[in-house]
Amino acid sequence: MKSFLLRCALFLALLAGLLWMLTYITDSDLHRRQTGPFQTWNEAASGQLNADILILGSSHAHVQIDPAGLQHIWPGLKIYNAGIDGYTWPVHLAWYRFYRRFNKQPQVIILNVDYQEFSKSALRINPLQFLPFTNDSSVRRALHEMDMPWPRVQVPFLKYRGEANALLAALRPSQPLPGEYSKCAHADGFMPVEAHWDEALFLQNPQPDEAKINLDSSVWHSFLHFKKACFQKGIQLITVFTPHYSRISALIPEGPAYRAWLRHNIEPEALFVDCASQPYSNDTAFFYNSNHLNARGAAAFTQAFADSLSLLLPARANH
Amino acid sequence: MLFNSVAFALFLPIVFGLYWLIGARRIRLQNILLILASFVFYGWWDYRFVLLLLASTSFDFFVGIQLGRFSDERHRRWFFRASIIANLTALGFFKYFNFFAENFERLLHSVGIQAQPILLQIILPVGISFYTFHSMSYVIDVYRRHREPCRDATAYFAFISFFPLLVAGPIVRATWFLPQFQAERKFEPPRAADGMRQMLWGFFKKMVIADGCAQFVNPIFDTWQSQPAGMLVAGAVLFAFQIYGDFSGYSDIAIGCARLFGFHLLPNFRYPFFAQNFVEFWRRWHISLTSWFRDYVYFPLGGSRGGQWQMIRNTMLVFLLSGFWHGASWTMIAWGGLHGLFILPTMLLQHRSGRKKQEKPWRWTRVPGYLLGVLITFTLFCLTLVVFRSADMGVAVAYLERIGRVPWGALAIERRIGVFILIMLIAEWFNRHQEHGLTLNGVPSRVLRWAIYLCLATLIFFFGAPPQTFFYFQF
Repeated sequence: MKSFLLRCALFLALLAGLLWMLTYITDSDLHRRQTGPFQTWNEAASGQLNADILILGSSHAHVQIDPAGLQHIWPGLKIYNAGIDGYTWPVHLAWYRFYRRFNKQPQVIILNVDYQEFSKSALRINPLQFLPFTNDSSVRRALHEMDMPWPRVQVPFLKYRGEANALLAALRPSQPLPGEYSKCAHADGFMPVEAHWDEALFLQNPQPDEAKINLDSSVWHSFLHFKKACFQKGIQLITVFTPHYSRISALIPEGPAYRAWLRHNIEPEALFVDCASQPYSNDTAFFYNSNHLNARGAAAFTQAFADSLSLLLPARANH
Repeated sequence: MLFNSVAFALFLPIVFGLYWLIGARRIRLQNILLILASFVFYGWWDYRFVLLLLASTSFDFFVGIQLGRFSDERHRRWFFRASIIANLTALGFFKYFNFFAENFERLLHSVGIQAQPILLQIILPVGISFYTFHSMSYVIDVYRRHREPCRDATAYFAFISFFPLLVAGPIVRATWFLPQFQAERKFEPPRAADGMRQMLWGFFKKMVIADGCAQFVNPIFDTWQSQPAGMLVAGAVLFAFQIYGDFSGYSDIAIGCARLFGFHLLPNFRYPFFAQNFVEFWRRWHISLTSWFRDYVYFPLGGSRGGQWQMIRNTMLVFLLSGFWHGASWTMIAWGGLHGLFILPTMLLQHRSGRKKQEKPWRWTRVPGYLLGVLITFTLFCLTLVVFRSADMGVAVAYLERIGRVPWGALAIERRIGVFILIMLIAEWFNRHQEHGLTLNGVPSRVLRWAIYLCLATLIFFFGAPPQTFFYFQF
């Protein structure tokens, strides 16, 4: 029995060693990647981002808010779009805390808020992006909240379980990562989508998750706490509600009331800019799906957002 | 509790440690520990399942005692029938009630009577088909006087609820497995080590092959109406490997796990994809179920003793029942019927020639014929699996019809899964005379053997697809 147990222990130790080595190789490779979501994480970790104006949010920020279109409002300042597709406030906050470990405090934070922003995130889109950064406590906390199994978060050599693509790419660093992980954003983090509206896709799947309001009280209170902290530290927090296609907006009759409620609770410490309805909201030439603008729509929206800010910011400064 | 879960990775070493700490001489205490562990394992899904298991086991234990107490056939027959009816009623209630209710409603509808079927909103207790068959085999064997009734409740309860076999078999016989719970179990390091190897092989088949194939099979069968012919064929072929990897993987884990506790089980699969015909296939696929139906249904019906027609009738009946055992639907019954049809030609040939096909010595000249036999058997098996996997018979027919109608198209299947399937087939071919595919008797170097085990474990770790429940749990 003793020899059997010793052999089992030896086997497990060797396996743990092998997995640790492969995890180290994978970690090292993913820390070097400058594509997909790794681009944002690795640029933050490099400590060279030091953005003056930081854009946070989901895909509504990532593919719709063009830093170049806002540059004239803050001439000479560095604007960076750090939107994380598919995730909500707990993850955006975790990313911000991670960013702050390596970079200076921004002067302005622009946060896109939508009907889902203050709900808990589900670990759905590109979960691999978090794994190289699990040594950060805020990332670990966010992963716990998203129900990632604890061994993958806490045991360093178990985290890449089932992530064969990451390992294979690490073993052949010249190879791109598959799918979304291989896409590149602009140098300022913005990633416009050059796609056209697909009516069939809309009819098949009008994104019912997006067509309802989701609000979690703990997430909301975490945001209020953040808003207060920003106010105390002199960071200007600007929240923006981005455009939705009119047919999906029609499915959310309580949308205007919700946005009014947001304004009421966000202002006056922070700014709330409501761009949900735009003149092109019923024009599919500006959208690629029910709540995402394509590159043309993003340009139009950023222009409208910049115009609003041009009016609001001086007024606010005077006030 | 799933074998491929963190909970089981903690559960198994704890139970293993406690079991051998108790000591081999304290059989009853070991049995009690196994019962408690099995109830925890089973109750992990739903504690109410444990109550059903307890009720079913207690009743058959009581019946066994009564069968031993009475010597007159009238009383014995009464208890025997009560047990069979109770077991089949439980199985029928949980598994088949809705099927019969829906079909009865359809029958009434066809004669112009409108009725609303009463459907039960209950979940099927995991593994009910397996432990019911364990229990029935005991009662039948005691009734036939093939074995003495068990008077040791701990041994009997441990036998029925033994956690490695509880939810998906193999279906063991009381005649040779129950005595193992009444005798001293010795820890034999070589057997335990081989058990670990068998478990590792089972995990590879389940987590890499079966779950890997499922990632392609599920979308193909979900959107078959828009798939090209190549993908439809790939869906059927990959489903064959999925279900084999899933079920034989589970059996390997279960048998390997039982070995850690000093129990010996017979193989449930003997490399069925190397079978040249359906008779051979069913001697290699789900052996414990096939032999159960053979001994408790086919032989009592007369087997092939009454001539050709009786053999055909009994074979078809057994396969239709086997299909129905797999699931309460017409597709399952049709799947069983197709297997019956495919097995009959070989059975009839063997029946006429009056001998069973003997294993001939291996010669290269036999390779083309062998490969042809294997290919035909595998193709027909895949064909039956389309019926097995489809929602209803209409879908199955349309799926097969579409293969012949639409262009072949591009194959959107990762090459990786093909490589893993090939690794499995090569390993199993070289171990086809061994108990499992990771025996490695031919590898003399210990370092190389350990390197292979480590590589396999690493493959499972990185390439194991998102864990899915075992396919056979639904049966």
